[in-house]
Amino acid sequence: MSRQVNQVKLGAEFIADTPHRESNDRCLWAARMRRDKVAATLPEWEQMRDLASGIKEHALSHLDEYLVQFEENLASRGIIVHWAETAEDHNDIVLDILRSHHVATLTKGKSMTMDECAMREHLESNGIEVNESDLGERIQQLDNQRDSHIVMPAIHKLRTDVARIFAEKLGSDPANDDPTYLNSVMRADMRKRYVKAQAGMIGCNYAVAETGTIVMCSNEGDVDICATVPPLLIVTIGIEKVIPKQSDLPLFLRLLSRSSLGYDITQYTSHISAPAPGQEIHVVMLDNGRSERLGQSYWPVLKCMRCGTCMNTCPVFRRTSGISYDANYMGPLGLALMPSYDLHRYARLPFSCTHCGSCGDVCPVKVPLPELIFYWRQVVVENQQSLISHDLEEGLMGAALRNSTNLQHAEKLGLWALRHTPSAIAESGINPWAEWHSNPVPPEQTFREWYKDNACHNDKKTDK
Amino acid sequence: MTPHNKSLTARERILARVRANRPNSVEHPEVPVFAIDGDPLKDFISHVEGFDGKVIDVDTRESALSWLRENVKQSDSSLVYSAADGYEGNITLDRLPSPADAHILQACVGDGILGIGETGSVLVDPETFGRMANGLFAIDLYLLLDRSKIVPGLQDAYAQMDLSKVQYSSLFSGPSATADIEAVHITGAQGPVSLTILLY
Repeated sequence: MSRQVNQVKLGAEFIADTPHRESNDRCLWAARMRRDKVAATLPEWEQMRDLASGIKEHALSHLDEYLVQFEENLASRGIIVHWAETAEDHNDIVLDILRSHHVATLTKGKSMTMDECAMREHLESNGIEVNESDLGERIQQLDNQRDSHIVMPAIHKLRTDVARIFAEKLGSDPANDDPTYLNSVMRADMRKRYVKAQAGMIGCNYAVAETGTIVMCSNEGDVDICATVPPLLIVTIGIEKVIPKQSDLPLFLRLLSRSSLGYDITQYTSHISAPAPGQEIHVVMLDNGRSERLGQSYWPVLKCMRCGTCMNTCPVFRRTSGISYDANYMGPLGLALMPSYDLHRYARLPFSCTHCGSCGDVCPVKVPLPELIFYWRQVVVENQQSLISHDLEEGLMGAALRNSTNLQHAEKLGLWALRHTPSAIAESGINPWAEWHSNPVPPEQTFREWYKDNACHNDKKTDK
Repeated sequence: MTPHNKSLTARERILARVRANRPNSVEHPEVPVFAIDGDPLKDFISHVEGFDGKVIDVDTRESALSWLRENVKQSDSSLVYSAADGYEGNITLDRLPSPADAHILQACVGDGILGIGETGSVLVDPETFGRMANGLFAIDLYLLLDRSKIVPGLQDAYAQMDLSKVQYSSLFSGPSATADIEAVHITGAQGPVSLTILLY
């Protein structure tokens, strides 16, 4: 059985690191504020969210038809299409393609779908050099750490961290932590790798069925270099990425970058519909549980277009960082999605949520994240996957809330305990609240008693 | 067809599961064309500049070409590839046999296909640069654009495209950029460091 992720513990470690916590929170909240500002410039913003949600729901409810149409269009122009049922199948297919072309080194654009398959690790363990081309992703690769955000993989790190990593791995000046300098180190290093790369690998933001087009949105130019420079290109596409028509695309593009980082568009929005002369393109359509999720009540999570805005707005995520989720998809999306990959391993994640509802309010395709997180809490409890402390809490609360008499007794018991438990015990390690707070001064009465003495009395006076 | 039948291919099993599990049918909503207020040309210029690009606004194409001749330095250590009619570079494709060879380029010049006011984007394709790698590896990128080809919004731009007919195309919105280190915005990530649009 897999080890259960304890996001609370990992998050507490990040919270205790004030410089990193403050930087993470500041950067993500700035993106959220920019998102609000640009969204406010478009009066049709909320209408666009409804339309995008509707198109995604339409596409998913006709997914088999659109997948076949997409495949036929790609194949008609010489793109080779593969189908992978699992992450392992995906990695085997990719490795076979690379071996048959004698590829020893490649460059790879950022792709959460490939990360979901642990593809880089698989290729590296089979002797293939994989060079991540996105700056944030490269930082994480060199640091041997998971991404902390689906759009900004190293946003939890400080510039001093990057300077140390680049000095160790790329031989840069350890004393220079200027981000412009660090970017130039990355650029110079990657240029050498692009020239040597025998293959490129990329993900896909949208797969347009009507035209058979792979659409990629990026900022650094690296994805386009990976896609156009080497003679061999492999594209991994989750089957849920298909959208029906070309005319749907601008709607999603208008929402994507504005939601993600608060900008009108990404620097590069690129479309591949055929190989270039002398180029070979393989597309791997990945299922890995998606077709099963489609038949479950939580299928709307498949509408997600990976903009990351739910993470930028989440008060838990901003303070604990994506690293604390120890998962490929983190933040509210991770809470709503990861238990479907491994219920035991991610059983605690749905409880890392304040239920403020902000993620659902900002999602550009209206994935009902708060409802899905609540759904997974129920599943976890019903499957007895939760923490012992959660079971205990819920058992006690269940008894207290069973009827009014029990609740009255519980209130009195609670007040008595507040008054009489010595502070050495009440504020010890058994009470996590007391680590950062003093216990409140106990009131004289329970609220119920106070209400009977005051509010009821006033009500009677009003009645007269 | 059963979704788990081992005699089927992976493709058939995936599609069978999708068919078996797909949610109740939802109609494709009608998407209106949203009006973009303002002057597309002014919007285009302000968005290009917002993305750290530069706009040179001249009267005629000939004036744009003259500007290039006066301002783009060419030498043995400053190689310029041009795919634009009327402006000669100092390197041709025969000296760049593979796409990766474009890493030696200082500059690349080409013609943009259309511009978008809403985002400051310019549509390009491999013809714009001779091949895409030239426009991605060059340090300085210059795009000539006929101002009459600027449309108000993304929807207008996609209405003019047929993605099925083009091998590769891209909307370039400013030079390459990153904000991956503490969200500090840096212009000049992996692709071009500068983008100059010559509007005529």
